[in-house]
Amino acid sequence: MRQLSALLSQELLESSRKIYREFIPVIVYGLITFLGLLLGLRRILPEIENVDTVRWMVPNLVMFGFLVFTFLGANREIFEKRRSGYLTYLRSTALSRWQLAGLFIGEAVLKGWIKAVILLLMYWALLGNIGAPHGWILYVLQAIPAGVFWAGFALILGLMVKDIVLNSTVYTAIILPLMIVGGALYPISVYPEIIYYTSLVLPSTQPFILGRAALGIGQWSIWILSGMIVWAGAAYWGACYSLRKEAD
Amino acid sequence: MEASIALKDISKRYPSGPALDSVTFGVERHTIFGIVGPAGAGKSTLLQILTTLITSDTGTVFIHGIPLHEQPGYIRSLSGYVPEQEMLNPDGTVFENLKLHGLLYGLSPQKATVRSRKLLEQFDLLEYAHDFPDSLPVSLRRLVSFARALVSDPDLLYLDEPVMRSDYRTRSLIWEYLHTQAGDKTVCFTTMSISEAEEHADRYIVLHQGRVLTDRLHEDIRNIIQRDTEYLLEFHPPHRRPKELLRDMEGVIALEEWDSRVSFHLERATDFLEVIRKIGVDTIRDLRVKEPDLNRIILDLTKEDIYE
Repeated sequence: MRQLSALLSQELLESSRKIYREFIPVIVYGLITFLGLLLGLRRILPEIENVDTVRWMVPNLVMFGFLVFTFLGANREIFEKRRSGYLTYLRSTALSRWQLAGLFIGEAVLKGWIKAVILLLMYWALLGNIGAPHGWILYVLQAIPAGVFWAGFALILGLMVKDIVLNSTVYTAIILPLMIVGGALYPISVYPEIIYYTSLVLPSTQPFILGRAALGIGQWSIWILSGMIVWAGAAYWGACYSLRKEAD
Repeated sequence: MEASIALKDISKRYPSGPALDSVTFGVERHTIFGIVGPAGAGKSTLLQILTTLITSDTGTVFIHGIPLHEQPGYIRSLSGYVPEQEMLNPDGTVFENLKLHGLLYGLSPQKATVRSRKLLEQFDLLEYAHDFPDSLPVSLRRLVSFARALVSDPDLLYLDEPVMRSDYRTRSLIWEYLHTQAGDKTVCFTTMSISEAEEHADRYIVLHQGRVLTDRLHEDIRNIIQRDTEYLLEFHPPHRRPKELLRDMEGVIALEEWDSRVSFHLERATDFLEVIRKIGVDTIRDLRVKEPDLNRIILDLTKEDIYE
């Protein structure tokens, strides 16, 4: 544990040195999405699923920001560590693959959440009431498996896909659209039935449903939470496996 | 002597072809062991297997009698690895790189700090302690990488081409440390230079195309290097006297002469000091020793049935 906390402290120290790189995208994202939310404020689209549009959108935008920043953070970190060879060094130390994968994922989730909190504070400052605090606590806890999945998936992608251009193409062409159509901008109930049921088992949809449900919007489901946990476990295992196979 | 590292029938194949083929050898405790071979011989692959970075396809490695695959974590905790590329953390300072290594190997923060500072001081790196590795010349980065591996005081030290791309100062600091202060460690290093192995290893093997060459061929290579090493001397004027001395000297062969320069070979490398003594150090303006290319020698000698 002491080894992991030492490595995490070092990683966070390094992030604090490049704070502009970490947080400028968060602020830009917050401001751009705030402009989008103004549509809701001007009552162009008054309600979604019988809830005020702004109240419906804020948890989705926070979740979307959290997932995207977690994914990108994990992906970039592992790519940079691979490129400099530092990853090979870390793999040669006394830390196990499980510990290393846990650390990389944990770091990405932690940084993702710090950014999500900044977003939330921005929305709160710009929009006023954004929901009850206890709902947001439940929201945070339920988002952890989603963060683990997307960080783990980013590690797998960063370790398996050696070409940085191909790596970013996978993100922009597949992952980003998948998250957007997963319920970040509109409810999945608009889809035909077969796509709707398929969406319920996808890790790109589940966090948005769970996040809204924590704030009293829509139905909470133990099955969706269980699905998210299974996805998280699979991604963690996949990240450990990829770390073991990376040099072979 | 007790074996610290024992490899039995280790083979490894990459998609591009075999990297190691039935490699078997042992390394005694507290010795310096060299693995010599040209580029692509399988030296780095061998070290990566020993450091558990990759797994072999067949065979077993024993470290202090423990099969490597049974306790890789424990064995990693005993090892220090200096890779061919420095693999330093580019976002951490030199001091942070060393201290983190100590912490990752279970040292307390105080002990990690003290050991890191001591090693930085020992290798004349204190002035670079707060610099980032990418701002340092390659030679210093190699020294930092070497110092980092020592912070945890490992039992086993694996060095992949430890002095490659290093200046004279770094070379001497690294070799001096290994000869004077690594007494309780088992050191395993790779190199492309037989003379480096001859000079610094207690024992060494020669790898070629993933196989260990026989002792017989090993000896042949040693003889060829001794015979084909070319010595080039340039003299201060007047040049006549040292040239005359060389012509009459026993053991000097294939002497060629130009204006102020000569080149020659020696029957025995040990005669070189005698040659210098006889012609006098003061007469020499420049001196170069040109060893034959290891790749070429191995290629010349490579026939069937040469592997162990």
